[in-house]
Amino acid sequence: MRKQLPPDMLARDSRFVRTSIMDQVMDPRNQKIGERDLGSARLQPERPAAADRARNLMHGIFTGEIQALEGAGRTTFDFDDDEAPFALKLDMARQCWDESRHVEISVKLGDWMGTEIGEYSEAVFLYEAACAPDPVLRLCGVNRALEGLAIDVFNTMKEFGDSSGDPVLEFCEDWMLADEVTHVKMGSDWLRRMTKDDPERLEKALEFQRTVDKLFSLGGFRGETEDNPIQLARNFRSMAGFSTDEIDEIAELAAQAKRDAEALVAGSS
Amino acid sequence: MSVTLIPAEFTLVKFDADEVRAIIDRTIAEVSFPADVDVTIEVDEVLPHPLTASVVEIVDGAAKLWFTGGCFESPQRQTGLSPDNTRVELGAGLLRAKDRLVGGFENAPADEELDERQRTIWDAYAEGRLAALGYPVRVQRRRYTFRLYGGFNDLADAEFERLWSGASLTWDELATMADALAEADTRPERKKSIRKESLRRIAPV
Repeated sequence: MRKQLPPDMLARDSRFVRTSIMDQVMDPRNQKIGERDLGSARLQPERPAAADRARNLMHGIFTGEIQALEGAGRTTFDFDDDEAPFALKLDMARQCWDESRHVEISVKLGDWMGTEIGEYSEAVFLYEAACAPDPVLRLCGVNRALEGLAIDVFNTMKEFGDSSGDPVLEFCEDWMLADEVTHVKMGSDWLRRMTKDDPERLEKALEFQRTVDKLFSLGGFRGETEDNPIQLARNFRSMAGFSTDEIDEIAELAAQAKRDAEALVAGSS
Repeated sequence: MSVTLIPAEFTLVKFDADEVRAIIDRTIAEVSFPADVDVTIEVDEVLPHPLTASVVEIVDGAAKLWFTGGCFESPQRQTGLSPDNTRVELGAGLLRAKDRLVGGFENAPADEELDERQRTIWDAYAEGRLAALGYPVRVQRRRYTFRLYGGFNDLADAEFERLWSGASLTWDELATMADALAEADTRPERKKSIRKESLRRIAPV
């Protein structure tokens, strides 16, 4: 079996349609939307089109879980024991079990909300962050950045379930959120252990995480203002082991990503 | 009857206006829309999927339907047209316009004055009829929206099944159903969603 599987070789059946972040960032409607006062972008039941926005996000969670499974799965296989300790691979294998359960839960939540598999396009930027050749970078890209984003998304969906009174959604998101906190903590612990005598490698890994976190902010998708559909979940990130400084840094990266996207759209028009 | 599509050509999305006009003509025929009523379909192409919203009004005997571009957009291909979604959204809008003209909803308030629960009941009533006509509607999608605004409880589920299985309805009956759902909804008031904003209100005229 091939090691270091590129994103275009991920196994998908004919239901899935691939898209790229650039398709979204360069959409000619973005600037026009920016000129309108649409009010809060937060995902709340009282906002317009809340049901379809929630279904869309739920499908994004579903494909994200598939890619998280693929990312953790690759780490169990891509590295020899001298590159990544066997105990780390065991943790990644346990994470695979969690992620596959999350995929199943997400499919059932999609059924509950009336969403079909493949109804929405899939971007594979999550998996792309899991293709780093250094296992320490993988820990930062997958366990701290990707799973950190998962904490923010699950918390947003959990709050949506709570505020809409949907008992199924709130319950399922809460359980998956608990797993994600564990995954982030696992990544943080392994990052410390594997770089304790190598500060240069640690800094390189954290720099990679900053890049990925900015990418995962998706030009304003995540942040801490009313303009951000996904809110940074400070409390759960803190439980997962992120320091306040680290969370502040992610918040700033998210704000910067929004400014960059706005400048990109303005420059292209 | 005259049928007008606004805009005549799309510039921000990759919708073929001729294809949209063909879908409109086909849908008008399939829902047996009154032949003597002029129809205007306005699409706000700035608002993307999943920002789905529509408004139906009768002005001087003519039907005016407004949709976000997201109603017609393919969720799989950004800025691309989804013929199936377009048929369903147009069909539901035309049925609601027909209801206002000759279907027992002549006394219904304007769309923007409906609360979310009333609107959700009406949408389910319209899509249930489209399902009977063989349109590609998805019952679970509509059921979820119905629960979101009608309540996650047995009464809401029973009323939804009644609507979906072909019950006929007037505005007065719809208003009664909305009141009954509100009565049965045990969620705190803040969870009984009443939409305050309208996407159309912020759109340029």
